[in-house]
Amino acid sequence: MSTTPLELEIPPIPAYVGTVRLFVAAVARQAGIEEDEVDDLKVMVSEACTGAIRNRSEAASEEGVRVQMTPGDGTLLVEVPRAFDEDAVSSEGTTDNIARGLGAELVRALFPQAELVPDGAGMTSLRVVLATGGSAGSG
Amino acid sequence: MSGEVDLFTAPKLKEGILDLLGDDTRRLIVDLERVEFMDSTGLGVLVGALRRLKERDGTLALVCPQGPVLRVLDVTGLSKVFEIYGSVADATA
Repeated sequence: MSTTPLELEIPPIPAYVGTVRLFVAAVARQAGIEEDEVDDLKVMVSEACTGAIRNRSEAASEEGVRVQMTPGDGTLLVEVPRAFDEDAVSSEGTTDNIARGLGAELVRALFPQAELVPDGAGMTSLRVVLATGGSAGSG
Repeated sequence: MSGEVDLFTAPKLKEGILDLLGDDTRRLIVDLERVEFMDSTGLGVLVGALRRLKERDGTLALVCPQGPVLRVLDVTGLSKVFEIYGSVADATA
């Protein structure tokens, strides 16, 4: 089983979010994740990238958005560093910007084990460990 | 509508819905049957449209059979907020 971490970095441009979903789905399927969970994973990563792109846009930053996937022994670790603003994570989804608060809520609803870890600079990083049923990378 | 609704494509959905929300519109049916993916940006557009319609005592119905889009509506609790139908025929009946 390959445990080589895979990473995709995109410019902070909305048109590339779909590319991230393709990447995540391909790696997850290869790792043995069930198709229903692949669909949820696509939503989760799309939300994280959306949060990151909004943040970069507001900060007039060209910092790329990275998605890291690391297969392990029966697990798949998915990470999106510097994804959501801390404000977006702490909201209850009822802010003026409905979609912003809803994004982090959606991540939590789909993956209760998801960790949204503050980076000390106003951002949070997303980290989720998925069970792969032990068939990761065997194809 | 069809395809994927995300940060890139949601503005197009919003534009289309705003075009349909004339002053006299009281009921809007959005057919999501061929939408393969939707995230919170798409949900935000739909909630915004619902809010506008409710301001004029209108309703928004979604045609959304089983699949990833209904899943997102369910986990966010929005499936209880919208009228949801399995087909356009049901929504217009």
